[in-house]
Amino acid sequence: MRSVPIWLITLLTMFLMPSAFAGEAGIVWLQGRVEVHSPDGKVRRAEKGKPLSEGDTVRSGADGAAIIELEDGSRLKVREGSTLKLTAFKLVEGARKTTLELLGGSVFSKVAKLGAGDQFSLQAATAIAGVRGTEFFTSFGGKVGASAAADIWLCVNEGTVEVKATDEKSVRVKAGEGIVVPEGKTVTPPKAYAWTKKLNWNMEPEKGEVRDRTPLEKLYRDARETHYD
Amino acid sequence: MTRGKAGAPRTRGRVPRTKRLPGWFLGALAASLLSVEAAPVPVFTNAPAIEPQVNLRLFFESARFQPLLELSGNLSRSMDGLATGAVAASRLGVNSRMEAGPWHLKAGTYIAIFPRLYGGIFYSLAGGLVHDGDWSNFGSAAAPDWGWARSATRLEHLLTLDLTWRTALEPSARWVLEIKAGSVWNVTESTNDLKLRPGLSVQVGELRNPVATLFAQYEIWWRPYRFIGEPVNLLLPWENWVYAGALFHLGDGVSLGASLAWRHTSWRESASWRSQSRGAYEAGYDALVPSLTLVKRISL
Repeated sequence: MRSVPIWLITLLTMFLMPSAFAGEAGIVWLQGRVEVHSPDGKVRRAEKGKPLSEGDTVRSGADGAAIIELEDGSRLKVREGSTLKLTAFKLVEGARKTTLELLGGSVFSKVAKLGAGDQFSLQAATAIAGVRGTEFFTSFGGKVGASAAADIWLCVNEGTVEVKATDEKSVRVKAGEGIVVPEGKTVTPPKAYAWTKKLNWNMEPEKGEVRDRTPLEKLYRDARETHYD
Repeated sequence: MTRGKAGAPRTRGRVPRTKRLPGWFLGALAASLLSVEAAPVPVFTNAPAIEPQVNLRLFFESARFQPLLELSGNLSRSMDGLATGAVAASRLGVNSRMEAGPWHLKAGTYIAIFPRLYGGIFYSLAGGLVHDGDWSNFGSAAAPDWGWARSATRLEHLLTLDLTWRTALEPSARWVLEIKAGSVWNVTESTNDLKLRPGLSVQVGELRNPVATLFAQYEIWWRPYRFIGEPVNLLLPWENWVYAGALFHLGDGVSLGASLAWRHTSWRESASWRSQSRGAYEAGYDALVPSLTLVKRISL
């Protein structure tokens, strides 16, 4: 699935988390096949402990998953079949501007404490969110009907996220709530979707299982695929 | 009378008395012929009947398969037929059946063949089914006692194969057209029913997570081999249904539905009737079927 570039802009206060990759980003956990695509076109197998550079794109295979830690301690958990580009994450003139681009699949984001002037941006299709929380999940949904644009799903584990779609109408999503942006057009009212409770938010391997296997294909009901009798 | 060869009597244009049919025989023959012609056809004096139905469905969902376990039953059924005598009229349960109606336990699965095209294969254990041959004379030719046989405890085995195709009528797929075609082979009775059901549904509420699904369907059944394995005019439908209803999605894979259906059944002939009459009949039976349905889905 490909994104249509619209920015999710997050700003808020988070907990400061120490990073194992001072001045860089890197993979702190991985499973299955995960590749790193460099801006110069080179492709290499991802390795735990190896640093990632600005412009690198992390791509997980059908059985792959990875946890990326950024310089500021923020963590990103990439699910299988996902593509995440680390556009920018370094300190520039005293302010940290982190820019990520979700090109496909799903990613958990646990954002570290932001200082004055800091920005954390997650670019995905057709939704703009002002994140005021620490943890949220973003995913491309399926394409229903003849539409060429995929649905976007977002849910919040901690804090609050302010989401805007192309209609510019802002919606606040609180912890435990989620929204969907069908075909990237309009943000639905936040509600507590049952599936969000099943997500595995853990990003610390030493604390237990980090792999999330929530069946995302059943996030919504496609009437064409649903039997009632 | 003269005698011919070998002593055989010779006749000239007159039937010998020894070859005339006796009067009593002719009378009995006439009576039997009259009784055959008078075999009654079913008459449904309480139509349209009201037959409440309850359906419990458990779906298991995976990428390609959707196994289904279903329990369904009618709470009552009225199948009163014309009684030719006082004896039959008083036999509740034969002529006027207000008992547990058709029920079945079904198990099987849908299989995704192509996108939006699904095959289904199911086995059913059923009871209370009614067949043409159930219209019988429980008495004798001289003292007929016509009615419908009891079937609530008569177990029958059915095998269903069907195809379901769905398409969105507009880009967001809120409106969906469904066409279902199926074949139900009653192994016990050696009948084969064919079904065609076009239907329309619409998702109400949030797109992708609707609160309800409204639907309307028309269903037509043919039963080409009605009884004794003899084909009946394939173009004559056996049953017609018109449904309208709603399913409310309560969350956690649970949906609760209510619907109302109008059913028209055409009964034509029975072995018992055919053995005592000629020609054919068509007796129409109408029923209103209000249904309550509970669906639960479990992701595999």
